[in-house]
Amino acid sequence: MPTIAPQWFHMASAPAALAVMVIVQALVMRFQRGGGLYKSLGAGFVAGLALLAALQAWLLAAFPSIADRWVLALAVNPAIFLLLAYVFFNFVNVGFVSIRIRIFEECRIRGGFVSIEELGAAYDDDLVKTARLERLSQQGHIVLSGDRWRLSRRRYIPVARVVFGLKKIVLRRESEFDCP
Amino acid sequence: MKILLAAFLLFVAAFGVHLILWRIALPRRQTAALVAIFGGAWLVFLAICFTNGPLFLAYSSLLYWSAALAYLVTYSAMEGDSPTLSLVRHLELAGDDGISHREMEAFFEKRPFVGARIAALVKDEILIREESGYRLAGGTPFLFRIVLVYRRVVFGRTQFGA
Repeated sequence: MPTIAPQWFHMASAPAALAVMVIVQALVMRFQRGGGLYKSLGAGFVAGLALLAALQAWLLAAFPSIADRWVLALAVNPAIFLLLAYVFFNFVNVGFVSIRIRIFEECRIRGGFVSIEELGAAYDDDLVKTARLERLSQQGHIVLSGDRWRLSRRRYIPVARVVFGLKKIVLRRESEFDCP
Repeated sequence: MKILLAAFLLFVAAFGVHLILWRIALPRRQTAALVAIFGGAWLVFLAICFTNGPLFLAYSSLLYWSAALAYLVTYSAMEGDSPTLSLVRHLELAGDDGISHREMEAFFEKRPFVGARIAALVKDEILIREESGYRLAGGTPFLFRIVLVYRRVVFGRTQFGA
């Protein structure tokens, strides 16, 4: 019977941890009625990370002869898991908030055609504004005190800095609404 | 170590090609062009390194594609402005004083997100503009399909957030 090189087990560890993240997120989302999307993502991420850590500990102990085992266990496998977890987070988030998918779905459920009036009634810039402000306020990211809107939580700031920094480097503009 | 180095260099090379091409001219279909660049770089890598054995090729490809996919999803937030991130950026730049309700209204008036997304759907040939509305151009694009299937499995019904 052919033996499997132990490095293949190393390689499978991050995708296995991602699979656990996906399943746990789906189960939490499906069975916690009215619960939060981000809580389910957090639960999935913690479950995946815990499995990844356990697998790395086991792989280091079970296959001590692999030359690059520390690099694989401490750098390569965690990097693969974190990158794929980030992709999954965005995939779920896009499904929830993407304006493009919402417009596409509005058109599809109306038999492939949506009039300008129907689209405007179902989804327009006022709705986007109201929904975003409500959601960000409910989640504690922004707060309205008196007549002033302020940031109250800094969680999105690093993400915004990275995205806008990359925009400047790659697209040489900060916003799609900037004049060219 | 070879795996980490190979995937890193491959990603840097593909990103460099992307930057150079974007400096010359923005492609009409940016995401498709990015996928072609990352895919093309990967095929060149496979052709050059095929003597290194399947384990090395598979492992470095997994790391490379993880990074490439992470960049592709980040790029979708760069290509079109995210209302949430744009607002966070705007409020961060405003500092501790924040912005007034009127300034918040002006922020959204200057950024017609829905119109921009409709224009993008028309540009990507997903919707066709007609006199009185919009018609689907054809089938469901692959990415939209997997997002919608996932939504149905997890949420059990159609449910959107703006």
